[in-house]
Amino acid sequence: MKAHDNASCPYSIGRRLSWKLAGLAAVGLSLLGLLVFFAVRMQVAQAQQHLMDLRVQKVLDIARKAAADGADPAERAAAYAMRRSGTRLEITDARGGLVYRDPDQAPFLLSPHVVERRFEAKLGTALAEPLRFHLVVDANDDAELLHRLGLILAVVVPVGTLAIGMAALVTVRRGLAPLRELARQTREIQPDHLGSRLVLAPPVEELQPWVDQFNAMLERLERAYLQLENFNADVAHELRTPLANLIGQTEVSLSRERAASDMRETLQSNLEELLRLSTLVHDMLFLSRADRGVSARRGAARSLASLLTEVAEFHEAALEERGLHVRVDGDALVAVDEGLVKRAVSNLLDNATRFAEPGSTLRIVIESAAEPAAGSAVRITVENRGATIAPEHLPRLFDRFFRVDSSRPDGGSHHGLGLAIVAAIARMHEGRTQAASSGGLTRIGFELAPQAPRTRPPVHEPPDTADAPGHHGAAGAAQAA
Amino acid sequence: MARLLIIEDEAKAADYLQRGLTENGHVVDVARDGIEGRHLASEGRYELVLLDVMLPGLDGFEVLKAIRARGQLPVLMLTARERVEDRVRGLQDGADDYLVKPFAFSELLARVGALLRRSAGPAAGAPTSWRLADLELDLERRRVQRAGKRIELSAKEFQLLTLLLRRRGQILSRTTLAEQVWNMNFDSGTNLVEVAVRRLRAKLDDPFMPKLLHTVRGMGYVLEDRST
Repeated sequence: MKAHDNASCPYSIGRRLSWKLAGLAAVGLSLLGLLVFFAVRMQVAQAQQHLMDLRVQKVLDIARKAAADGADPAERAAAYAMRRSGTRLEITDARGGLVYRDPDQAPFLLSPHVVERRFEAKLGTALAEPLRFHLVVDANDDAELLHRLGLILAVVVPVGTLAIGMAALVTVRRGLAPLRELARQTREIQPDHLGSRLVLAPPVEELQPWVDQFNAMLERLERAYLQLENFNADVAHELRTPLANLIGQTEVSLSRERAASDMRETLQSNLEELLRLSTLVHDMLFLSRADRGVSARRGAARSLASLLTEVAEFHEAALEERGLHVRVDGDALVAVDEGLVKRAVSNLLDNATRFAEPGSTLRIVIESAAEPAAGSAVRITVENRGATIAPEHLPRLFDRFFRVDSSRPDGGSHHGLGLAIVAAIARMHEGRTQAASSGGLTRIGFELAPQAPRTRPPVHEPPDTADAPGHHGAAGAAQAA
Repeated sequence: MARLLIIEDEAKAADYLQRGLTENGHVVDVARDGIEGRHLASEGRYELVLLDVMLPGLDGFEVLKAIRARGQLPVLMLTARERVEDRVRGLQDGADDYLVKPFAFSELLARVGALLRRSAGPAAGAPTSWRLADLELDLERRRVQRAGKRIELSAKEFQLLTLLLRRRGQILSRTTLAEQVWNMNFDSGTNLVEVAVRRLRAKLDDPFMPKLLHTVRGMGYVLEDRST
């Protein structure tokens, strides 16, 4: 296991999220700033218009009063001028003649930011001609207010963005803490602590499915590991009996002078034991090859019924001896590794033969999940009448060296790898095994995927491994499930 | 019978192969590494080469290439590895057969015999009937008689007997029988062969004398008349 330091990973959830949050904050704050700015400017403009209305009213009031009093509007305007600081007033008559204008001096000098309005009004009697007013109001304060607001927002937006970005970084780091915790816990899982599991306290909704899956995987690995350990023990046990026989017989034969015929007897017996060992080794290597993921070499598509009829013929004599019959039902056209499938079905038949009621008929059933349409899985089942297998044993039938009843009288004639080999052959065809047993009917079989998926890269085996189906000359003791 | 060359670096294996094959009537030479093997094989004195894959100096595939570059000398490859790729490679490179260690010597002998027969060319006019002691088998009429009495055999029993008769006097291993009679190329289930042979024997031998079908413990079966 290689530990990656953060720098070597081009993608970091923490950094990505922080940058994204900061970006979102920048956009959000900018929009907010613009909104605030324009809203304030609109309010200010409205207030200015309102103020203008009041001033216009005031000017008109004064002008009307002057007209009513018969006073000169210009004089009155001048008289009131000092009470209108920050404004300029210009009055012209209808023909454009200047009636009154505020002098060009303080306090009538205005900043460039102004609000102005032109209006005309008839004063006094109806016959009098209208006067034109031009009122200009200084809006410098408002302009400055907006200017300052703009400045404040221009500072607040980037500073806010930065602050949110930093806060996001911290929050995200904290949010991802359970991942670091999981990494730490994972690091502590060792072969000698296979029982340990990942625990998140408190559970995290998003991570819990992953944690559950990971724990389930650990569970499977632990089972596989234990199975492997048991497997080693079983193998050693299987090897011990023939080895003990070999050593004992050889020692006894050598301890005295013996006739050649006696020696011959010993050697023949030794040969039988050795062939048993050889078969066991070949079968184990076959299983190990399947474990490494080697897949079957499929030939051309052919009729499974004719293939399996050959297997049935192979078993004919042994079946007849037990008063059993065999029938092949169904058919499917599929490309398989013929040698392997024959071997699997032969093992299934061996198994069924041992458990079948005398006089009954075994059935080899070939079914395709969906009618002959190419691309559907094909199921091969061997069915026998006989004692029902307890449900708790069913999933373990395909385990190596598993025996439902180790005290069976013919238990010694087979080494308990037969159904494990069936499972391996199913796996090599991307299929899986199935077993069901109820009401005195036991069906054990496997499914085959119709064609090997092309996506899987070929498995390269280490050069120092040997192994073994097919051609090797060891003829030997009875092998079965 | 034939001149054989064994190219095998492991002394124990080379010795027992040489001894076994010599005792079966062959003249056997041994090369202990690939270079010597290539040299000896190129002299053209041999009818068959037994070639180990893992060799010092020059590996088996290289030796095989050198042999093939010169001609059609039959080659039987021996190896402890049975990766399918190896087997395919060996056969593609021109090996005539392939045997994985550990193998039974009887199996090796059978394959050597088959290769020698193959290279000798098809026997002209293969016989259609055989006779051994008072046993007669007529291939065309699919009839078996012993001491003038008709024996009823199932199709597979007939094939089994034909093979045993054709190779009479030779020990045929259970694996060979399973392969040749039932077309089963795997090794488990050889007890099924035992049962089949037992049933054949019940029909063929039990009611008659002398016994013809003999079991060679640990090795297989042989059909021969031992009474003479």
